Amino acid sequence: MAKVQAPVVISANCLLTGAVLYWGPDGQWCTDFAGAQVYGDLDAAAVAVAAVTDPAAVIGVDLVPVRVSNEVVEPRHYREVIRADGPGASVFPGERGIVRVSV
Amino acid sequence: MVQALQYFPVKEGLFVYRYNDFDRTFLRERVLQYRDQVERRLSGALTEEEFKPLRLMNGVYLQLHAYMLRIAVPYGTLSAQQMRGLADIAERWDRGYGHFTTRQNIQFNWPKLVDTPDILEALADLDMHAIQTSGNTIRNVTTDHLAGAALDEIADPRPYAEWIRQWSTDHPEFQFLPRKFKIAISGGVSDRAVIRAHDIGLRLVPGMEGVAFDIYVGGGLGRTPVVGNRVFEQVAVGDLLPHLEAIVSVYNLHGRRDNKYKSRIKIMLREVGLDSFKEEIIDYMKHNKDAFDKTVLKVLNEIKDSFKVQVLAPKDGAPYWERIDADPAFREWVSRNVTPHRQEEYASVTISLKAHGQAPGDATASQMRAMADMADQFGFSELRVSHQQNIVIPHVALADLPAVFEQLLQQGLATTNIGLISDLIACPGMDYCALATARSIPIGQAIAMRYQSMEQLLGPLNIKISGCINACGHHHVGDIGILGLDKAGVENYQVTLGGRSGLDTALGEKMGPGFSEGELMNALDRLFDRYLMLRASSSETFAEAVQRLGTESFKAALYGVEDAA
Repeated sequence: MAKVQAPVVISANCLLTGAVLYWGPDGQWCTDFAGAQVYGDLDAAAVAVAAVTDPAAVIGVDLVPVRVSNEVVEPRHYREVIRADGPGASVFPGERGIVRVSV
Repeated sequence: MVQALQYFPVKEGLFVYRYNDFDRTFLRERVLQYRDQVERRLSGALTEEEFKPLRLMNGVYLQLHAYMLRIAVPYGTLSAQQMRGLADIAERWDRGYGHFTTRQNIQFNWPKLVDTPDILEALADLDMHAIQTSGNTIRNVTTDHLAGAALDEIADPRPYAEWIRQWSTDHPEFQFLPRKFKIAISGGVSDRAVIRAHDIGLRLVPGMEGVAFDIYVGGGLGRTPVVGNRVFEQVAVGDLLPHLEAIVSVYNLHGRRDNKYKSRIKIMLREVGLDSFKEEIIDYMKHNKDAFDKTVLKVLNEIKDSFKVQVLAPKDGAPYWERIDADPAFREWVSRNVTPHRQEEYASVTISLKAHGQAPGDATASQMRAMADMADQFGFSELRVSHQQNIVIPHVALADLPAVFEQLLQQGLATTNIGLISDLIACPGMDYCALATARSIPIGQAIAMRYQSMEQLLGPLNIKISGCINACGHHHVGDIGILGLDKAGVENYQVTLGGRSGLDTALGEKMGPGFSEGELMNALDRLFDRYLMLRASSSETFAEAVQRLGTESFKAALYGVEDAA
C-alpha cells in the first residue's frame, strides 16, 4: 500500500445510503467533492479523522490524496475521481449536486 | 411492514418452479431476521464489523457510491410476474433500472440500507430472495438460458438445478466455505453454461437410466484461471447429491483459508492431486450415501412435475413467413436474435440488452415491464436471464414473432446484434464496483459505438471485459478478452486472444503490455483490419481465424509492428 501523501481530504460512505461523503470546513459531511476541507498536514488530518469517525453514521472513513493547482482541488487517483463524480455520464445520467447532509 | 406492491393479474408461468409453504415460511423468517439485524446496526447495537457478514449473507454489498443488492435469479428463470415485481422495486427503491449479470442474477446499484429489509420482503412476495448471492457459500446455480427449449437438449437441466438449489440453500455445513463456490449445469449437446469455468460443472449425458451426469471439478477464472477437468463420468441421478456433498465437504476440509487468492477448489486440486482427491471423494461417499435416500429422489420428481415439458399449441405460421418475405429488418432480427426451438412452430427470442452505447445488461423498469408483458402475451409468462447479459423469451410461436418484433421496436429493445461485437459482456467495473481496478462499461460502450457500422462485416465475435483480475466479465474465455488494471495510477487494458467457452473451453493468450483506453481502440482497429485481411473467406469467424493461424500475426497487428511471419 503506497504511503498517503498530503494534501488530503477526508472521505467516507454514509451508513444509511452508502453515498460518498466528504468532511467539510463547516463541520458537516457533504456529498460534493468541491465542498471538502483540504488538509495540508497529515497529522492534522489524522486527528480530524479520529474526531469525525462516528460508526453510527459513516463507514470507512479514510484519507484521499488530492492535488491542488491554481486553487483547483482534484483527487490524485482516478478511482477517487470516479467516486467523486459518480458513474460515467453515459452509464447513468448523474444527479449529483452540492448536498449538505446531517448524519 | 411494507405496503404490498400491486401487480397485474397474470397467469403462472407454465414451466416455473412454484414455492411451497415451507419455502415461503423460510423466506419470511429470514427477512424478519435481517430486518432485526439492520435495526440493530442503525441503533448502534451492532458494529459495522459485526454487521457486514450479516448483510452480505443477504446480498447487500457496499460499492463505490452506494449499497448494491444482488438478487438471485435461480438458474436464470423468471416469471413475468417476477420481472414486473423487479421493475416495481427498481422504481420504488432504486433509480429505475436494474443490471443483469454474468451469473444470471440482477443487481440494483442504489438501494438505501434502511430500505433493504422492505426490498427483501417485496422479493419474498415474488418467491425471490438474495440469499447466498454473496459470501463463501454455494452461489446461484446457473444453467443454459435455452433450457427446456433447445433443439439439442439431452434433458432439461432446470429441475436438477432446482434440486441442487434446495440442497445447497442454507446448508449448515456450507455457509463458511474457504471461498465462494459456483456450480453450473448444462443439458444440451452444446455447453451454453460455460460449465468448465465453474468450481463444479455438471453435464447431463445419456445414461443407463435415461440420463446421467459427467462431473467437472476445479474450473474457474479469476486471478488463476483453470479449465475444469472431468473427474467423474456417468454418475447416476440418484448419486448426484452424494457426489456434490462429498466434493464440497472435502474442499471445506482441505481448502486453504490463509490466503484468499489460493482458497478456491482449483488451487486445492492442484495441491492434493486429482487421484488423491478422487479417492477421498469415493471414501467420503461410503459414509454419506445413506443420507440421500428415496425421499430425496421423490423431491426431484416433484420438482420435475413443476417443469413438465408440454406440447405447445400449434399456430398458423403464415404471418411469420409473410413478414420474413416482406421486411429485411425483421429477417435480419430473426437471423440474429431468434433461435430454433425443440418444437417446430416455435422459437426462442433473445432480447438484446446491448443497444449501442448503453451499459451492457442494464434494463429500465419500463423495459422490464414491457418484457414481462411480452412474455405474458406471447411466451407463457416465462423469461430467462442469459449469462451473456441478455433476456430470453424461450417459447414463442413463429406466428407471434412479428408482433414481438413490433413491441421490441417500440421499447428500444430490438437491437439486432446477438453474437456480434456489440453483444459484449462487461462487468460493472470501476463505475460501481469497489474491487475494480479500472472501468469496463465505458470501454464496452466505446467498442459498441465505434464498430457499429462494421459489425455485420466482422461477423460473430465475442468480447468480454473485466475491470479487475477477479474476471467477473469472463475475459479469459472471450475471442477477445480485455482486462482493466491500474498501472501506476493510470487505467491500463490487457488484451487476450483465442479464449473460448463450451466443452472445448480454452483460456485466451495474453498478448503483451496493456493499452491506455485511447490506444486500445487504435489497437483494435489494427486487429480487425488484420482479421479482415487474413480470413479465409467471409464466413470464417474471428475465432476460427485465430485458431487456424495462431496469435502471432494478430499480436503484431495489435502492437502495430511488422508481422515477422
